[in-house]
Amino acid sequence: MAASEDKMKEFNLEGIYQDQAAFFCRLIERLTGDPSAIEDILQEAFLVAHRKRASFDPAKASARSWLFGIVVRLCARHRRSLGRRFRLFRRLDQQGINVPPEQPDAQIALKDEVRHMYQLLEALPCKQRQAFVLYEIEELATKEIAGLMGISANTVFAHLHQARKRFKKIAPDLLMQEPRAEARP
Amino acid sequence: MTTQKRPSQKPVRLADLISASRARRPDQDAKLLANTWQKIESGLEAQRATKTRSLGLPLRTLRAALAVWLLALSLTAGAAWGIYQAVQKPAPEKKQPASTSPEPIAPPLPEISPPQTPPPQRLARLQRKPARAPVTKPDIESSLDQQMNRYTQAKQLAKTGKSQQALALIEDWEASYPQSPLQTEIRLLRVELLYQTRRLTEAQSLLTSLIEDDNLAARRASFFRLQGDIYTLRHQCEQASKAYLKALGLGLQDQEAARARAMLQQCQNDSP
Repeated sequence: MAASEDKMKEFNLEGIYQDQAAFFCRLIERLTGDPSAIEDILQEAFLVAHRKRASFDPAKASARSWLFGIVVRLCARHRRSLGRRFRLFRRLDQQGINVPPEQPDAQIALKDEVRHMYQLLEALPCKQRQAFVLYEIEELATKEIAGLMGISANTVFAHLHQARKRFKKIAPDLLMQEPRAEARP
Repeated sequence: MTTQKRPSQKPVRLADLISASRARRPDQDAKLLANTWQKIESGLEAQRATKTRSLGLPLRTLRAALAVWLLALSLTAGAAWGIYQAVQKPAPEKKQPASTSPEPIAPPLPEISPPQTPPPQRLARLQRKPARAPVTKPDIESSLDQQMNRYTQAKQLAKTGKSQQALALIEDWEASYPQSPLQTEIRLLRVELLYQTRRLTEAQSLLTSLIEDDNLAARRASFFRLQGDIYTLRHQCEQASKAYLKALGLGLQDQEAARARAMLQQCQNDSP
């Protein structure tokens, strides 16, 4: 009990925010494809982190990997809520009720290429999307990705391979490239 | 989600998409990060405030317990006092017959004069006045039974297609029991019957009052559906469509919803 209280006192949320906010800011946008969600999810993630600070053990995991779990769950929740809204609008549309197209201003401001990339990413399952974003866009090392996602490096490669296969399937005119050169573990 | 086809015919390279995504840096927006931190801080404040408030909970519980305890104590004391009073009260003394008393205690009462007879005119008026009939309480139970029987009978008639007879029965019923607790059910049945007998104006006005009744909010979807049917019969397709959409929006049961959709489709096909 006393140990967990000490841990809670040591927990420096502001420091973690200064170190990690930029990374998670990018990650949230890339995982959700929705720039307008960054602020809300980031805030929620750090509030959750503060609430659950007793469960954070720096000896077991880094602050980044601990926060990664929280952020990924919040992103998934956001995507589910978007999906629900999309299904509702589709149902209303089927019933003949006109719904104005919903497209946040922030998303309109995205470049065509970025929007295309986000659309492709949206078609991927969760783990594949995470692996692809971390490896190709964030350019993290496989070992680090494995640590963040709590899987082995080989599984990371498997996810990347599956993601590329899926891209080929959904966008046949897309010219693929060789994976980023990196020494395999 | 399906990917949108790009307008240009030029094939897209995944490498280009990736590098464009890499170039996009939402984290360079210092304002966004500062705003978010401010929000986090206010969220933390709110969390702390909630925690402080939650500390007050046991005190409130204690206060409530004390109040209950005081109430119980006062009730117990009251009961005990009542019992004590009952025990202490001496038994009422038996009255001895007056004849046995040796001496009269009170002075003799003045003699009471016999009642005067009323004047003859008043007497005649009193004699003419008929005696009031004894007031009998209405037998509520039997009345309710009768109401239920007649209501059931009307429903049976409506089911067998004898709408006119059912309606007559209902109207008679409404005249007989204006304050009945079954009034709502009767109004609902009445509106159905009015629709079946094509008395659309009356049905429409009754339906409007039913829709506005907050106690029947749960059945509003069915009312709107019925309103749509009435408009359809009157060839007012636009209003019918609106009513059906409202009904579908409020949520109908499967069968009713399917019917409403079909009617809506028909309306949309008919409209120019």
